[in-house]
Amino acid sequence: MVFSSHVFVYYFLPLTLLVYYLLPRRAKHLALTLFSYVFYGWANPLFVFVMLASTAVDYACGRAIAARPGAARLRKGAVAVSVCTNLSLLGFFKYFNFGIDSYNALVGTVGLSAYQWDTVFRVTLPLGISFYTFQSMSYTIDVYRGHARAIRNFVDFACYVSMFPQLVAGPIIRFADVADQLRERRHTRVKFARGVSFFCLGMAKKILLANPCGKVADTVFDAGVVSALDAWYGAVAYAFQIYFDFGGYSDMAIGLGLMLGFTFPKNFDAPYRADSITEFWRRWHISLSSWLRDYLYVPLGGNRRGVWRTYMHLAIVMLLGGLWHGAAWNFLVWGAIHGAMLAFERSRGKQSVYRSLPRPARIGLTFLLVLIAWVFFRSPDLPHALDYLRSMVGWATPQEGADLIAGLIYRPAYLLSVGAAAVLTWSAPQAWDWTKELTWLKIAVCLGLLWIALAVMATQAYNPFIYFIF
Amino acid sequence: MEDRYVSERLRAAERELGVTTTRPSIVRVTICVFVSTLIAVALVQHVVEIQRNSSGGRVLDALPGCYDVFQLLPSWQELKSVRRAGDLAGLLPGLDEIDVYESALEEDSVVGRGLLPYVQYALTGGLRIGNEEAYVGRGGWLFYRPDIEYLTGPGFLQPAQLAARRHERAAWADPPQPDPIRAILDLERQLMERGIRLVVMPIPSKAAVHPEEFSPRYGRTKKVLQNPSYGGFVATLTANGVRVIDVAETLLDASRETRPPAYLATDSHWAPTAMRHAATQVADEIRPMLSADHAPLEHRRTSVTVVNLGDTAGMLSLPDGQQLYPRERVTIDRVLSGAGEPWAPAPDAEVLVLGDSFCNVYSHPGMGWGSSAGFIEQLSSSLARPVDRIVVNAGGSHTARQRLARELARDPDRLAGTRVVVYQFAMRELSFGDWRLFKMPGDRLDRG
Repeated sequence: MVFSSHVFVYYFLPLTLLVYYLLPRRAKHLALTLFSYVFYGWANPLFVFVMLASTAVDYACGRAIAARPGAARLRKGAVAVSVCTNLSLLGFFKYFNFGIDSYNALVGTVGLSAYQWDTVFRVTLPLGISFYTFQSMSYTIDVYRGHARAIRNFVDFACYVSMFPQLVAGPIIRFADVADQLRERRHTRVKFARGVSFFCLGMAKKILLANPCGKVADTVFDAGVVSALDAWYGAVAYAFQIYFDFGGYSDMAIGLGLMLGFTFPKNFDAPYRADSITEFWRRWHISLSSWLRDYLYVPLGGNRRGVWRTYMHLAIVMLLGGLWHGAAWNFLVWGAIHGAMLAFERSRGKQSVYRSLPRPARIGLTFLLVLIAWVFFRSPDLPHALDYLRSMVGWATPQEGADLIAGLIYRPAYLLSVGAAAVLTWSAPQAWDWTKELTWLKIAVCLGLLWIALAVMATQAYNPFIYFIF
Repeated sequence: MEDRYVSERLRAAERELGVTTTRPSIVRVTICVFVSTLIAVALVQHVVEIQRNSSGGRVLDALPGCYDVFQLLPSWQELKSVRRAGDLAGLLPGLDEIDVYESALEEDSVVGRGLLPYVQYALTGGLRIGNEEAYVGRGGWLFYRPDIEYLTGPGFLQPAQLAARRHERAAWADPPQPDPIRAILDLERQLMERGIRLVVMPIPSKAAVHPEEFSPRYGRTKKVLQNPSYGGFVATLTANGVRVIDVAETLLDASRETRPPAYLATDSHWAPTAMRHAATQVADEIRPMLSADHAPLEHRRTSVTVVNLGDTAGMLSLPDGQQLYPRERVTIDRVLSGAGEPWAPAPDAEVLVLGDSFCNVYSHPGMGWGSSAGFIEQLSSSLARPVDRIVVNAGGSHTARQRLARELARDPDRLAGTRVVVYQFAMRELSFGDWRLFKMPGDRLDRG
């Protein structure tokens, strides 16, 4: 089930809101948990047990840590169990196929094909496992560190892990950030209305911007060898697709959270307005980058162990961050590119090499670097990414049918979508600021966009969010 | 404790979201309109379906289809029979069941079905955007999406592409067999064991012959566009003794200069004139493979005008009576027997055609383009011989072969007298088809 689907908008959401608001406070979390499990199980009922197992283990570990504050070995053991369980689940479901394929490719390359592992067994990736395992792990780590109090009520904990607004594509919510809200939160009409505005804007970003940009990007990236112009256009379209797809989803998640009385932190802060890669990572998928900083970078030593160790830590974090996004070498390369750029800027005092240029130029160059890295992110594999880059610099000869894609991607409607995406990216106020004051005009715009998006949604088949695959 | 470690980001969010400047009336209207939007579709669906279903008498029968979700859940009896965890897993709804339920919810939506044609009309007429199946071309032309992607996509025989296709499937479906060479050589071997020659006849994509009607980067083409793997495909088959009849140049020649296009503007299939030229080419190429001592079969021809909406226009789900893509008018040549009866296949013919909708168009009345005037009829007329046929729309990659295998399983003499099998399929199947292997047995059907 996805937010931009018929069953979610017209059946699941209204039913959830109705039941949620009819029930007394004590039963709200149970209802929310059950509906969240239905939401999650809709993609594959079997994977509900995976999430339940992760939840149960982390709940028990949290209780164990809290039960014996003085027992250091027990507490460490409980954290270890939690981390190992979650990483094992993630490792198995996400990286088993990659591991087998990489091993077979390696032994085949060195002439040891007889040692290849011939198996038809392929593991299916549970939806959102990368998100809820990280979220769930952060709970036990925070309880261990004393940054959060272990929760007694299993239903409340299950509600925190499984909450459908942010379950399958984030934002990754720290337990400390919702602990108080799980105990008590206010449900007000103004909050609900604000949530509605976020939801409407998020839906519009997904359907009216991300999807058309995605059509352009998919057409170009799925084609064989294309011309340089088409390759650049496709890459720019993808940059907008992933931003408005993920940003739109985050807006919808924040909006749904507000409707349910929860406040979630911002996950995107106009990332393409960054004037350095360092700043980009303060603005893009903030919940992930801050998670990696607090649970990986800092424990590794952060910047406290000398310059070269700092660079190494940055590289490790970004490599693993790349791998988190996908079990493929192109994601590793994407992470490595960003890690290298971060380390390089760190060597220059967290400033870009072009820091002396005017801000618009700095923003443009940062976008260009991010764009090139996105080619690795979007491509199905490393050879394709390299071929695509060759197309971008005009080193490839387009295949004879390649010019057909011009008949599609340069349609006025798609040019308008990409143009609108560019204007909104660099000129328009963000949803957080724009909805601070809700006027009649703004609400009319929000609801009008929602209706248009829902009407267009009716003409589209299944259109999942990009980050659902992580 | 928690308050100290609430992240600065959450504090910032609480500051930014905690205060919203607005008026109570705006809030009330926002909530009312939003909630009304959410429930309107389900409400209308309930009213319409209950009215439609209530004539049956039973209350449960009158319930709308959305309540079928409860049928996805295990019954109480089934739950009581659970002894182990594995039993419980087996009672969970399957992904295919959930998919069927969700698709039915969308397709049966009264509001959705009512809105869709008009929204699509606005998108197509105003923004020149088609949908997932149909692309809008230039000058009133429409193109079937796989036909475009066959030409723009990577080579269909590239190892990475074959590997990717093997993993491309719904979770509950079997993986496809993406390699057409493997399937065709397997068919060739099995036919050769029966002394039958295989001739392969791929039909080019519409955009391969008329790229100028889709993309402004092409003028009237002098060369048919091809997928990067096609040359290797033909070379491999030829090297293995399979005759490939490429009608692409014939279709291109048929549409040169002032001649009518080789394809229908709003349909994915070829135009009657171009099809006749292709039939003549095939007849000329397979005639030497047939027995010399055969009395020519007499045929009569009669021209008929047919008006129909193209299949690609139909894919757009536009409102009835729309004039964006009006019905097309074509003149077909109906092939009749000497006695004036519509052409009929002959099971004992020396030529058997395995085909798809390119054979059914102008032949099968169900396609709306007339009857008795299709490719096989034209082939039979050009050869002046009877021809047999096994034709199934869609799935040119395996469905016709599958049917042949099933017919052989029922009747081992099905191919008695056959000298040549002409295997026709759309070229896009090379990139997207499921090229399953089938054993051609005497008494059973095995799937390779």
